[in-house]
Amino acid sequence: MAQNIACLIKVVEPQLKQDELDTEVRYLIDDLRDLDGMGQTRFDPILENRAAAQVRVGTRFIAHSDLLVSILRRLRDRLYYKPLETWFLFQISDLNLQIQTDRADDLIDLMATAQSGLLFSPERDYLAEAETYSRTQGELSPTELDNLNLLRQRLSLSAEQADLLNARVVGPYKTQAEKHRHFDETAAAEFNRLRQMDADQPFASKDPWPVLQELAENLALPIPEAEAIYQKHWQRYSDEAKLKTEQQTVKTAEEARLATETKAEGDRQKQAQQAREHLEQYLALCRQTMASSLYPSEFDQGRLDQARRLQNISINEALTLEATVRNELYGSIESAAGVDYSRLRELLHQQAWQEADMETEAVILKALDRDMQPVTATTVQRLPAVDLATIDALWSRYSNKRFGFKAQQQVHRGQQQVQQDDRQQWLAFQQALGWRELPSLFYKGYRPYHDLNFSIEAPVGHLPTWRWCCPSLSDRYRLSLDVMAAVIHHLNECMPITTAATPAVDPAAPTVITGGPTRAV
Amino acid sequence: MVENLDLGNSFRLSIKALESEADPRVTHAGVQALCSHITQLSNLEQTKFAFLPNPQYSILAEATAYPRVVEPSLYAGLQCEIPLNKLRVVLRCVGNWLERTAHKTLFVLEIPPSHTITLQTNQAKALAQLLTLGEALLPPHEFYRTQAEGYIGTFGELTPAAKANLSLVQQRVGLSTEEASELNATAMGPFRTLAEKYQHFRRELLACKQVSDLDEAFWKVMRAKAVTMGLPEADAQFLKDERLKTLRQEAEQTQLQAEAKAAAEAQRQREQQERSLGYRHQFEAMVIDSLTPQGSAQEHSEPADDQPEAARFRQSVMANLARSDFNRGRLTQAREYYNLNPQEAEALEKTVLDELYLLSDLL
Repeated sequence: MAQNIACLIKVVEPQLKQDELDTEVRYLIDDLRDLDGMGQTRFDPILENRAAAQVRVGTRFIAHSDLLVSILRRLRDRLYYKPLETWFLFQISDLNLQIQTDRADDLIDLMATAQSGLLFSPERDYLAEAETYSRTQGELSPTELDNLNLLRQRLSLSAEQADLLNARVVGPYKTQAEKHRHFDETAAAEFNRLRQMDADQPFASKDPWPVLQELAENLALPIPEAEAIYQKHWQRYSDEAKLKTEQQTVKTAEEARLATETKAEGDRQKQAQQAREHLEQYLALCRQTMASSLYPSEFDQGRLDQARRLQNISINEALTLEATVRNELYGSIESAAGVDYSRLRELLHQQAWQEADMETEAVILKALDRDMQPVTATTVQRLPAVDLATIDALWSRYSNKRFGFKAQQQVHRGQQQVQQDDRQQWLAFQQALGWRELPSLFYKGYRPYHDLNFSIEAPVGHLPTWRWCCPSLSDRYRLSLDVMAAVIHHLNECMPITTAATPAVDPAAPTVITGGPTRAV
Repeated sequence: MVENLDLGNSFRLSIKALESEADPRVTHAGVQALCSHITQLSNLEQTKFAFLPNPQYSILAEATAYPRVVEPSLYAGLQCEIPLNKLRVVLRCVGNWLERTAHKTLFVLEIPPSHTITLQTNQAKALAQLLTLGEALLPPHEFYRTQAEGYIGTFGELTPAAKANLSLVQQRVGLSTEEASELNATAMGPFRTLAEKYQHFRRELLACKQVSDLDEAFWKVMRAKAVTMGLPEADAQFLKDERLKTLRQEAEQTQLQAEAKAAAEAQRQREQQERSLGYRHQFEAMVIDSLTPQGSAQEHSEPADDQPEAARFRQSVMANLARSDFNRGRLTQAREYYNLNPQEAEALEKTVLDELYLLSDLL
């Protein structure tokens, strides 16, 4: 459906002189008249008064809309050839389009539009109707499509042309539902992008709403609807971020708490370690100063005293530590009966065997609380095992296991294996220990106490003597059988010896004990 | 009125009511309503408007007693400049407005570089022609690229929403998918994602080893680089702040390390002093402990006329100490404990004894 277009073209190039201007206008009209279908067109001059003379600066003419593309192409070519500043006015229906340019390219877009037919009826009228519907509702409803179909028929447009025009108006998403879905998906993708970025290194956060709002406008989706979709996604994202922050806060607080606790624990351990080190240092000094003598020299006592002061160790604690080291180095003097065995240890350390034996008698009687009273088979049983073990360990330690109760037990075990008769057994036992000699007709074999062997060469088990359970304090070292049996029995109860077979001991030969358990010192 | 400026990536829209018999107040309200509708559109909140005074009202104003001081406050139209990508939504908004007012209005649409479309109508339907022609006159490639560059200039990359908008633009201006992809790539520059831009920019900022390195001159270069690589100003500023924060933390860390080192040295010196002081105290205690009730150490000393009195005092105290194995043990242990060499110990002992000597004089 062709229509007429009023065209005005005016050369406004300021550099041109009057005659040049007139020439250019004449050439322009000639060029346009040369176009097919323009031969009969009437070109009216546009005149302007310049320097008291009327000058032709352009032309106006009416052209058929079918010719607009050819006219524009010719004008474009002229500008390519000679880029003169020119003013164009095209009156298309209600529209006036003005272009002032010296660039040929500025006419290309208009040419393309003219070629598409969108500027003229029927496309223009159909598009205007469709655009009105779409602008109001954002989609073409079935009723509107019906109306448009009627319009299409009236304007003699093909169904394909109408579809293309409809698509131009509503875009790729034809219904509100499609637009809604597309917007929802885009908003979700937008927030997923933010989540991905949150998971990576920090970035400058930006509000995604303006671009989403723009999308809603471009889709003609109602803004409140779009905002509701956006809010839904934002809320989810915000909740996640909040949760993450809370978790992070809790984690940080927990880490801080753990760090504080670890530090406090570290400090405690450090203090404890320091205290331990102080004690260790003091113990080391004790070992050093008591390595060669049971009691430190005065010089070493000075060192210990100074060390104690420097390391803030109380006197009692220092005494305990010194006693521990002394026990460690010289044997324990543990007692369940509250007896002090330190003198015994000292005497044994000095190898003062007889004095040690007498001290043994004294401490045992003290342990039994039987001072000046005879020890019976019953009272023997009251000797605490701890005390027996202490006495045995000390004797054994300083005699290289030659003396002590265990050595005596071993000898007794040996005699048990060779002597069946009880009496003979005890006689042999005393003889083996060197406590008694072979009896003869006029000699019962008892040896006086002072005649016993108080040296390391004495028979195995010779010491300590059992003088503490002698019925009398006369010089004769004579033991009653029932007390001896009670002592051995009590020793076996308190300090059981191994059951391994012990070779028979020759009563005439000195007994050598090679094994058997000894108390660890 | 808006000045006749180079429009660049904007179009200029002028709207003027033409019905002279219409109530100027109604026209004025209509203009204000339109202004309000346009500013509610996305990214147009800051749009500047020039209002065209109502000529009727101007005549009325001149007839009043104070014509010179009273400015016309009733408008017959407006003019605004709006980004090209908003052409459709703005013209649709104007269409909705015209549908309600239905007043004959003059519309002048100026599209860069040189097109001016004029339309007089009171029908929204006729306004659709303005949209059709206006969109048709937009150069498709340039329009699309401008839009893509706008998004990248804001977000540093094409976000899903930006891509969705560009997809609509692509179809509207009739670009193929390949052309659009090519334009996207051109707009994006050498980096494919914002993360890559961040990575590169962060690496560049590592050249600054201290806060003072990130000065005006350096930042000017970096800003130019950000523009070149399509990194938005906000992101560049964010990375600058991040780097500055790191540098400040590093500086603080270095400072702390230096302080810790100084503190360690001070602690070492303090310990040394404490050792000296400790030894002095211990030595003082030993000297006092060693004093016999019968008299001071001085009384036990052998007279030596060739030595000063203080020296004699020292000699006698030390001799007194040396007489006791116990004290010698204490002295040896204290020296060992404080890890003092004989010279240090002697110097400290001399100090203590000199002080004691002075005190003994006072007493």
